[in-house]
Amino acid sequence: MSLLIQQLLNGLSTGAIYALIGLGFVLIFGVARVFNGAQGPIVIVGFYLASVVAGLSGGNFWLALLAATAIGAVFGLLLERLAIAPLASKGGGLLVPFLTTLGFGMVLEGIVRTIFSSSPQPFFVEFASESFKIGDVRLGQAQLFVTVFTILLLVALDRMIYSTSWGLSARAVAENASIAGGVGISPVALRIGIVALASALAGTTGALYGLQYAAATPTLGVVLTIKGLLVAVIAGLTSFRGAVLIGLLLGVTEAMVIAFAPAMPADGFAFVILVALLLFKPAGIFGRKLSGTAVGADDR
Amino acid sequence: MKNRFGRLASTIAVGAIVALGAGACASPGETPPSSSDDGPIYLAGISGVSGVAATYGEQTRAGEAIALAQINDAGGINGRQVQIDHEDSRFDIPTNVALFKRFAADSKYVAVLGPADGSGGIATTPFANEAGLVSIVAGGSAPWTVPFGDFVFRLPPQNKEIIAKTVKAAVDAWGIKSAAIIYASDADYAVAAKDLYEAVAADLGIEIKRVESFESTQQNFAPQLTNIAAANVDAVLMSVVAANAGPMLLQAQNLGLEDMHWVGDAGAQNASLWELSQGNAQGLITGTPFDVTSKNPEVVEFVEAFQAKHGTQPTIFNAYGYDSVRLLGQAIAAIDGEITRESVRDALAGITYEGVTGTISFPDGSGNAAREGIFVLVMDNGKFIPF
Repeated sequence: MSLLIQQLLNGLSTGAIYALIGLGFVLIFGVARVFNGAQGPIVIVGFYLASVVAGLSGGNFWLALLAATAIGAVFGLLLERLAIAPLASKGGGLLVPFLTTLGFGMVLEGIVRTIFSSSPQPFFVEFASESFKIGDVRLGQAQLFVTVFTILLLVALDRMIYSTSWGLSARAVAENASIAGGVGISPVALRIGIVALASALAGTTGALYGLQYAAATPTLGVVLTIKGLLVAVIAGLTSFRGAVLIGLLLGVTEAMVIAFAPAMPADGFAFVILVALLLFKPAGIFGRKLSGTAVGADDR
Repeated sequence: MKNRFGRLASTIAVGAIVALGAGACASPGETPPSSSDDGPIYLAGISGVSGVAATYGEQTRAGEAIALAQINDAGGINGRQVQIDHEDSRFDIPTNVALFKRFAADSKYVAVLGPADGSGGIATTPFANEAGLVSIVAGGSAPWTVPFGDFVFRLPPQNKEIIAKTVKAAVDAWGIKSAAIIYASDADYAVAAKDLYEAVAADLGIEIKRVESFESTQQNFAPQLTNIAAANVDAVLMSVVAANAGPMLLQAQNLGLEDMHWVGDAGAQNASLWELSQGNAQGLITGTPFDVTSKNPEVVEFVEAFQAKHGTQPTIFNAYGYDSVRLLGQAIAAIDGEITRESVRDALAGITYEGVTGTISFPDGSGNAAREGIFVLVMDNGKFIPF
């Protein structure tokens, strides 16, 4: 039983990271109808800056977290202006903006590699290497921190989306940008804000990733993009709570596959299970039919 | 304006197709390779400095650069400077093949340093032999699955020798009776190493209680380490490079594996392991042909030069890169007459080279290097020292 609980905790802490990345996809797709190919690389930018700040500040994780979040927001603004906005009024479908954001991400990866090299970058924060025991279950402090912090962050974001007028506007745009625009909501301003928010979240995720796993390489961004994209797709693309749940489920499924079916490739097997669910819910488990109206489609 | 860009794009596309086509069609007879004038001796370099395993390509190149600087600073080879033109293979097989064909089509190149990885080397082997162009493969310890032919030379020792000696050292020192294995399932050398660990463990009477794998893009090893902790073993036998091993050892500490014995293969020999594991790599042992602490003058010269430039101990991949250039340099220097692809091959076939990774020769005239000397090192406060 303790092995099961331990693996469940392992899966939840990994799933928390997946949930944050998947959520970034859902936020941006919701208001802009863009699959953000740069979500993973922005996580990596956040990780690298956090690792530098942690190093310079003697392991001050809060400062590192703040810096990573801020750089994420800055790159989010750049991403929106350079890779999303120019296409918003041109009706490039889903593929073209995905490619431009993917290209933006590749540029970020190249910059990170040029500055830091391709070698793994360590992330050093003193309390990350401490752990404690409850019965037979071992818990790393970093693991616990990441899980709890992510849950609190997600609750705060949930409140923001579902209990504020800004969140209401965002949901209105996600529902139908044209109608939202007609009632005085500025879809473009909202899009800028949401992309910056999702990217800030990616920066935060980078710092949390560093705390939990202690190292990363520039190329990791691609892997995280794929994971986040799949979480978002399986969740149904616009479901905030769905992305959180699927992210956590993916993490736990991977851990359970490793625990009880070690011969299986955990990544692939976990996805097979989740994708199989799409056979029964083709629009995503929490998805519904989209209006198809992207932000900016009426800006021309 | 649009038309101008369109024409430019078309020109580039046509040029690329022609260049690739030329590469594909090249043969030794059509483009007689030679480097016989008084200008530089041109070598091609193929290694991945982007993609999933970029760090190893970078390390190989860093080692090559030290050797190249030494050769050129000393006046070059028989008065001629040496130039290495590098391209990034991205550790991708089609790119390796395309680059090799491109270099093969250019007669100024007398040898290729690379591909730096085994998979790329296997893929380009037929083209090296077809073009009559030497390929020196500095990395990759997995079994070679195609005939080497006359033009492919591989430097690393067989992983079998490394693993057998390292596990034996662990048994002798710690009396281990049970173990778990962990390896990267997406790396050919690591999959081969897993099989070797199992075979060696059977020979030595070690019970393998758990076999765990992961994908090398991952840095989350908690599920695998939880399984290993539950298996209650004496040691973990790992085929894991430092990039993954560092975070793995840190996470192991958090999961109650503080007193575990860790046994690695050559991929773990990287001083950055200490930093990446945040000091939790203490006591890890690894087998390697490169004893970074050796008093051998060749090794001392290399280590000092490397530390002066990079400030850290060189890794095994740095050492392989260094040896590949010095080996090739020695072979070319021994050529009496015109430096051609053929004469470079012949010189390599008969060489005995005293390198930093041991004595290298090719008793079969090409293929796997014959090697002597595998060392078992232990991580001690950030440095590898003899075990």
